[in-house]
Amino acid sequence: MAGDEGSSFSRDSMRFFGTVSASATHDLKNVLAVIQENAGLLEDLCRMAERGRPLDPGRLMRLAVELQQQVRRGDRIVSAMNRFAHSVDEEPKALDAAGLLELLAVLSARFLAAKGLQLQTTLPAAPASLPASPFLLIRLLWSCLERAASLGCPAKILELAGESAGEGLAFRIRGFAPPSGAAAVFLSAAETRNLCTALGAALACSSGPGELVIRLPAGSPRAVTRDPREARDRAGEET
Amino acid sequence: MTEKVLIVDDDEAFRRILAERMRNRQLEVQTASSAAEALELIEKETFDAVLLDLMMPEMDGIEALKRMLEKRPETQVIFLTGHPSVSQGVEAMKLGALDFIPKPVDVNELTEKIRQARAGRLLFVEKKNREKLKRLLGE
Repeated sequence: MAGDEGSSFSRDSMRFFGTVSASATHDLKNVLAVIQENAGLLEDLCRMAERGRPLDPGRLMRLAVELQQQVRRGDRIVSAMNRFAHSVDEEPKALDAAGLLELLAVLSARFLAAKGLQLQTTLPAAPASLPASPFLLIRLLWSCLERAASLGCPAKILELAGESAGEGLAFRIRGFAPPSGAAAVFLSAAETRNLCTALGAALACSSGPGELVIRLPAGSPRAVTRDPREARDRAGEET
Repeated sequence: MTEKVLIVDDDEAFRRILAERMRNRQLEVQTASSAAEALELIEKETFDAVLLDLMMPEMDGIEALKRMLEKRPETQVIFLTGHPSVSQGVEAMKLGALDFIPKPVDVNELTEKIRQARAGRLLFVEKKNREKLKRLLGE
C-alpha cells in the first residue's frame, strides 16, 4: 500500500473515532440537561410547597421514574462508548455479531435520527462470531449504513440483520431505495473499499428491493488485521 | 401580560420538563419536536420567544432560524445547545438570534431572557408599524 493511502486510512479512522465520540457525548449532554431540568423541577415544587401549595406524591414519583430512565439512558450511552473505545485498543478477537449490532444501534441512533431515520436490528438466531477487528467492522457497517441512508429510505427505517454464513458472518442492510449500479455504489468510496480489503469482506446487492449483503468469510487472515497495509502484506505472503 | 414561548427540541423529556418549569413561572408555553413543526406553528401564532435546539433531525437550528425570520422577521430566537461553539454562536447571532445559551440552562435566567425577547419583539413591530405609517403618509 502506498504511504499516502495508508495515512489517508489512518486519518479516516481518526475522523470516524472523533465523529462517533462527539455524537455520543452530545447525547450524554442531553441526558444531563434532562436530569438538570428534573432537579430544577423538584426545586420548583419544594419552593411552591414552602408557599403553601401541597406536594403531590404522584408527581414526585413520576419525577423519580423520569430520573431513573435518564440514568439508564446515560448508562447505555456510556457503556456503548466504552465498548467502542476498547474496539481500538484491544487485540482483534472473536467478534459476537449480536453484541456488535446492539453497539451499532446505540452509536448510530443520533446520526440516523439526524436524517429522520431509525435503525432496526435483527440479531442472529443462534450465537454467531468471527475473529475480526471490531473497530474496522463497525466502520465498515457504519459506512454502508451511511451510504444506504443517502440513497433514501421510503419507510424511514433501515434494517440491519446479522447471521451466520457457513463458518463466517453476514450482515444485511435493508430499507434503502435500490441504487442503479448495485454494490458498486457502496464501493465507490475509497474508505469502504479499503475496509473491505482489510476485513476480507465482500459486498453484494440483492436483485430485490434495496438490500445489501456484507459477507465476512471465515479463515481469512485479513479478517483479524487492523490496517489494510497489514492485510495486503499478508495477502502478498500467501501468494 | 403573559409571555408566550415556543420550545423546539427533539428530546421529548427535555421539552416536557422545561415546559412545565416555564408554566410554573406563569409563561404560556407550546412545544414542537422538530423545526418543521415549529415553522408551521409560528405561521399560525405569535410567540414572544422561540427556544430552539441547535442540533435537530432533518433541519438544524441555523436553517430553522433563517426560515423563521423569513416568515416572521420579528421572531426572537434563543438557541439552546449541548455543545456551544464560538463559530456557531457567531453565525447564529449574525443571522439574527437573540442569544445562544448552553445546556443545562438556568431557568430563571432564561425566563428573564424571554421577557427581554418580548420587549424586543414589541419594539420591532412598533418600528415596522411606524415605517408603514410614514410610507402611507408619504413622508
